Amino acid sequence: MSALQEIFSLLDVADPYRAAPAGLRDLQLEALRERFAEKRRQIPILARRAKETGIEEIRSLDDVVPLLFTHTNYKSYPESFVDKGQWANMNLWLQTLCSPPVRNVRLDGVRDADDWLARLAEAGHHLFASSGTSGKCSFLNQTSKDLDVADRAYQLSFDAQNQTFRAANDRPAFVFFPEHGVHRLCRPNAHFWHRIAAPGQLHFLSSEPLRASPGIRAGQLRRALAAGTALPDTIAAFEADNRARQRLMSAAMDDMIDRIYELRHERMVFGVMWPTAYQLVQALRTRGVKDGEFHPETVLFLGGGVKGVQLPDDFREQIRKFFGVSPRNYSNSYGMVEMTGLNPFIHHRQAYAMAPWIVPLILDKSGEKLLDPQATGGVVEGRMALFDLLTDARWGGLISGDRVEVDFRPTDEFSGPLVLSIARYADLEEGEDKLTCAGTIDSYVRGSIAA
Amino acid sequence: MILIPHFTRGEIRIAADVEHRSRSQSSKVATPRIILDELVWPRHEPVPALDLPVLEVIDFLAELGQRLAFDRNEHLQEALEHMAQFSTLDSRILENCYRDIASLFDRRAVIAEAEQSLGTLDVLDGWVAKNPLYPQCRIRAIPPRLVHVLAGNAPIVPPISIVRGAISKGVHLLKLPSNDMWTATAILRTMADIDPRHPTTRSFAAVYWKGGDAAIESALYRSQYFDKIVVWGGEAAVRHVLKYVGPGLEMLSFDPKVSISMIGCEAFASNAITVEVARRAAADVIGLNQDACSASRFHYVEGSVEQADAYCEKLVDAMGRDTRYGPGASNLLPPREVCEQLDMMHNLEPLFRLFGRYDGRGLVIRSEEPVSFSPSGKLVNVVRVASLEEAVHYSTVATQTVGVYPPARRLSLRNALASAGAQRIVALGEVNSGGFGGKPHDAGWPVHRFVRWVSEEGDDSCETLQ
Repeated sequence: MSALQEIFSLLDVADPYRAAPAGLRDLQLEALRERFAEKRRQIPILARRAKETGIEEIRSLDDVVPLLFTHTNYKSYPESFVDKGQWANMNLWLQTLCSPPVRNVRLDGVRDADDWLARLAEAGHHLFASSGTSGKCSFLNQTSKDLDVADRAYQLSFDAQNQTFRAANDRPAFVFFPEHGVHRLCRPNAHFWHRIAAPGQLHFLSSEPLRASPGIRAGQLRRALAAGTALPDTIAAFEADNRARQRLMSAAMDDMIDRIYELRHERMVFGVMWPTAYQLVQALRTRGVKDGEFHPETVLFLGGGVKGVQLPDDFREQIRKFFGVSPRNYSNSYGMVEMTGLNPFIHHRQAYAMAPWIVPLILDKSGEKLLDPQATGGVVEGRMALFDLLTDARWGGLISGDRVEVDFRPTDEFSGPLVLSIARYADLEEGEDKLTCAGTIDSYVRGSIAA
Repeated sequence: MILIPHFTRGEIRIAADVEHRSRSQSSKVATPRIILDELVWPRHEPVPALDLPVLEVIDFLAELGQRLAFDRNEHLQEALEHMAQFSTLDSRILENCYRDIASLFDRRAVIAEAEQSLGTLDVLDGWVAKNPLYPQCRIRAIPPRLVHVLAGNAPIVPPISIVRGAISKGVHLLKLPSNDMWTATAILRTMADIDPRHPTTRSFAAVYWKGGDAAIESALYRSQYFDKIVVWGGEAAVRHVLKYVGPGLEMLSFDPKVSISMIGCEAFASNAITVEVARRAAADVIGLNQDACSASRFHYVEGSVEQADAYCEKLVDAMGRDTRYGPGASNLLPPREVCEQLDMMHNLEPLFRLFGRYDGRGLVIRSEEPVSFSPSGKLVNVVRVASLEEAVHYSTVATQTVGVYPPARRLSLRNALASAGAQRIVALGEVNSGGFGGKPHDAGWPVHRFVRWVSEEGDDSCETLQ
């Protein structure tokens, strides 16, 4: 059995976070070698990077560092390809970053990025997309097998977040996320929640599929404004549309909150991001709900970052106090769409357990050098980079914008390392005053279409 | 630990009261404690230079210029030594910039700067009647109270701020940036060596605090103490200051900018001409590590794919050679995300073509439309256009300098470029050699914008009611 097969076999156990074999790091390195040998033949950008950096094989984890991609690589397509509907060029772009051959994709009549994604799916390329604040979408390819693997991996991650709760189609569930769409989590989420909710008691925030095009449209308009070609009526119409969409969204949110209010004494399950959870608490408070009114067996699956949201320092404590359920019923995780599955929060360790198929690589702040955890007593702080061994359609190496503290010391319970804290470098660097007069047109765009 | 001197109205203070750590510096630095009261000039007292004739200010600046000759000025020499830890510029380039400083204080340059901005020097010294419609109205350029939030990427910023500030006769608090904590104080210390009690010397303070520090900025940035805050670029710096702008306190922003080059088909008349055009273009790119607002980032080239590619090759070659203000060999590279985009574009040849290597000598990406990222780290985006007139469409409100080849085509492009947003149109290769004195900056006259224009009206009968 190859090292990679051994890693994949961890998907067959009930709790891979606790069942990974001893010597996991060596097994991961071997699996990484196998991935590199295979992917460098399939992914042109990786082949080029390997050639330029002179890396012929992975002898140690240090060799992986120059081969890591940033998340922006997956939105590196020239915007004009999308603006001008050059979908054949988009396929060429996609091919530079993925291993399966991008062939036999019907492109006739494709009007927008969502049409393009649908045609790619017909040809076996199951891309997920995420729209950044830049108005440019990331597109990440997955094979059909990647999809199934991801479903299983997310399932295991959800289970590992709460050791006692198991899905049984027996209670109301409220999910503050769209049921369908281009986001990576839509599909595994839907599978998970359909197994939890009692018949007729599953409530998603929206049944409208989450689409890639609206974000792209915002980016196009922003560029047109920057270039000086967009006129004020167009901008005003766009901003009015945005407001209308926000009104619809808050109406849907109000509706959810009314139902939750009615059922608050019953046991329920919530799937909600931290900032929305705080919104929910505030809305229920204004309806007169006091701390601790919820059923003690209510379960919350929380997660997500708090990027760009204004929240009080103690928002987590406020949320916990408000629902007042047992600490183990607050599930939380660390993840990013580029990696398969999530890393569950382990209450008694106050840390996130890394999935055994994710190889964490903690780098210096500049992202150039791998830090040796042993040099600092087994706990190391630096930039989070990782290699996702499960992903087949793409190169699994990724460098993130997160500053993490990771404990590599082995424990009886977990063979993978534990992530002790997470922050974003972008937030930490606010207020630096290394001033230069050089700028870009982005500084000149204001309003809801600003990046 | 490096000690950063503070300068307040002629007095130099060096102390390790406050430690600072920033990504710009490789070692820790410390400054004296900020005493807020020393950084304001109370409004009920006239500013020190109000009654000083402007010609005396000019004499003083001219003498300062003499004393700023690099080989004889130990403050500049010391600043240069320390700047290696603060600036990303090579010491050769920094030294060339420092050697230019003296000329900025040249009498003719200072007079040109004042006269072109204000029309006449007289308005600085007294009340001048010159409006034929209202002969009984006199105006004066009243010295302002200004904060200058300096940028640290170009060593010319502190000296020209000091020259313009001195001309205005106002009082000036210079907020030092973390990437240049030395140049401004070196000049002001030289000023104090001439005369620490001179009204002009007493009109300046230069100190460091961490940009955005609300405890300091909220206390100082008030209309009771200052009229205007002059901000050099940097979107974050502009946004910090905007929080404090209100009635009585204005922001005067030298906005963050992008510069471009336009290469006409005449560049391809012969191989030798293309080589020379590329050489000139490269000087406009690599000056100050391509980190200034005047550094060219996009080149619009009027020619065939083959011609554009030939130009790109020669441009990469030229960027690998030292110029007075730019490094040939360097460790400059575009940011990692941009390199990834370049790799991707490399794989999409012939839609794009990448020239050069990731070796610090320079890179060019050729495309049919401008790329969506901002080229930096010795990277140029060469965009092929059917005509330079068409390329004008890529000029925006963020465009600063446009270098044109052949120079004669400036004339047919200047109206369209200026109306699209460009501010300065020069012959290709002349971005960094324009000289200082008497030219607009950021589409305005800085000294004119610094001062407060006050009118005093009425006939001179001096009638008193009995």
